[in-house]
Amino acid sequence: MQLLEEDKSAAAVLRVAGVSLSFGGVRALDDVTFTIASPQVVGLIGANGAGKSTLLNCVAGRFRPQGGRIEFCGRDVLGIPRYRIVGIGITRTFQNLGLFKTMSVLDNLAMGLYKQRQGGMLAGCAWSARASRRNRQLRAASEQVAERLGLSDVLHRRVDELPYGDQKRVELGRAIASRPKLVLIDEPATGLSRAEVGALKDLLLELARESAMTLLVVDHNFAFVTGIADEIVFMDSGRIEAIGTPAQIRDNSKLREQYLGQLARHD
Amino acid sequence: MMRLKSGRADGVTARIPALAMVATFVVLAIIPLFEQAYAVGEWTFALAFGIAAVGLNMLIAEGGLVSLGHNAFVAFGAYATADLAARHLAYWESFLLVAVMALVLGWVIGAPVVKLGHLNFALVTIGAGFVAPTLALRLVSVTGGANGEALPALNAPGWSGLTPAAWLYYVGLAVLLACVLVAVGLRRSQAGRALRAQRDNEVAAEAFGVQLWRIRCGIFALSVMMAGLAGWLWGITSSFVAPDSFDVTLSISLLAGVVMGGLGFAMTAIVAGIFVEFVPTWSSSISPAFDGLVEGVIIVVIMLVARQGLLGLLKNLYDKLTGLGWRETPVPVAAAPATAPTSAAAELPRPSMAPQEPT
Repeated sequence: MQLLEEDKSAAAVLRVAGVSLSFGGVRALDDVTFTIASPQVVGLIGANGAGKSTLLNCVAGRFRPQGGRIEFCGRDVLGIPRYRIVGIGITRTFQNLGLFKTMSVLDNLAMGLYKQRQGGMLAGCAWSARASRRNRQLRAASEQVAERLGLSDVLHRRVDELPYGDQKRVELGRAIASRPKLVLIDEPATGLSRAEVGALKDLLLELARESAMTLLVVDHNFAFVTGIADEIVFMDSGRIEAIGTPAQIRDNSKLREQYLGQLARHD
Repeated sequence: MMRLKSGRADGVTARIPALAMVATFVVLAIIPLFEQAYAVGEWTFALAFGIAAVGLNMLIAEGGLVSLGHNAFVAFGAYATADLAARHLAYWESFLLVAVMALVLGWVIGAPVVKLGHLNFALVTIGAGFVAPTLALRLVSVTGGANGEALPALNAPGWSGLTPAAWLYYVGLAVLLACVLVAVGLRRSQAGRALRAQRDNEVAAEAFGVQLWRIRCGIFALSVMMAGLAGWLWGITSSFVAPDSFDVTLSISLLAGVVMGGLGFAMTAIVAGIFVEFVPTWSSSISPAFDGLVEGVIIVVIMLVARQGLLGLLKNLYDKLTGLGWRETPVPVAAAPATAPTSAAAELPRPSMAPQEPT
């Protein structure tokens, strides 16, 4: 990854500059700086407490850093109200699943395509033709996403009736449904079987390849992340330790220390 | 009947809920033909409470917000109707005005309060519910104080050939039907989906574009509007409104009625309206001295027999008969659903993670 020289003519997908955040006395993020210049898959790795999820939450607008800037395609993200973040092209998944539990797979996916302007409460109450049409479009689009993710069979089931692996897929589907520019993926491989992780890898690679989606993937599974990422950001104790391609990053001593077991399996 | 893996009814089976709704309204429509004027008046009160219950049902089941102050908004509607009648406005004009005023009132109250969180919101509504009768008593210039206000009778138009009581009943039934249709329309729409989403997981809802404050205000205002219209109907039916007409026990009764009917179902409001209007009378006839106790026992028995409400019980029977689940349960339940489709889940082939091959 090239640290972007001040080349404003082509705004980077994501530019994180000097981001710092403390919770009480704990420095969760310490002067974090990196740039994703163009659409690619970026892996964010590090031990528990390294600040990976915290950073993700800052980009998603859930946490407000005390210092630094975060820019997405040239726009300052930190000033935007949370509910507008999806509108500028950033979606996310949640570490412990953030699905709408009582709703069906279809409805969860359709929420990935929600646009408040296209059908507020008034239109709904009045059975407006435009609202119905919009709803039909949403359903069709959601069904397509479901098919892409192998969820067509369970389209109308409540998501909390599904096995864990399927729920994770619904969560991913909801995040990609609107074809966002940046998807923040928080621990997608956790809790999945080996086979499921393999399939997830294939799916993410395919998504990244066919569309101009940038994926920022946080995960503990070193093999999984190195398998899909073009670049890796390695964090420790709130700071960035190293940035590089998977091949480059393996030589980092701290990383070898933390991931010794996983690396050994692949050396 | 086909057992579908996707868990969705097909053909006639899917139409049963809609048919049941039509049947219910048909039954309600023929009531005035069999009852005396006094009983028709009672049923009109039941319709009024039903109208308030539509809004409350939506607020709680879809919006995830609880209000125990809806008696205040029914009172508002009734008093507003009386005042407008005193200014010689026709009842259809006051209908429109009360609807608009109640909607605005809902926004004005909701806007600052919704941001305080669910618990504080409920507490504020309880406050409103308690304060309403006192306000009605004290604001003598507006409400006539302890003397209350009278409302002129509504006459049936000549062409209808109906008694005034029956005419008023049908007007009320039309308003109830309109409110139910509004609720169903909202539920089926994108906005309804967003509403349920923020109820289930507000963080995720926000992450996908739902403006929490605005949608919560909107549903609260809608429920206040319906409570106001309930007051409009109540006032005309009663021909009189007084400070003690709507105290906080009405809110509690409405809540109990909605829960016992089954949170989230389209027809719950009708069950709730009947509950609020008739159960106190039935309880008194069973035991004049201990009618409160009888009412309590009725509630307890129903909740033991039908945890998801009476309509929930019907839904579960329907599920058992058809072997399918409905698309989704209207409201989250604390424990696993009674008819957990374990056999259906076992039957599903485990979908592979790999994307489908293009055919």
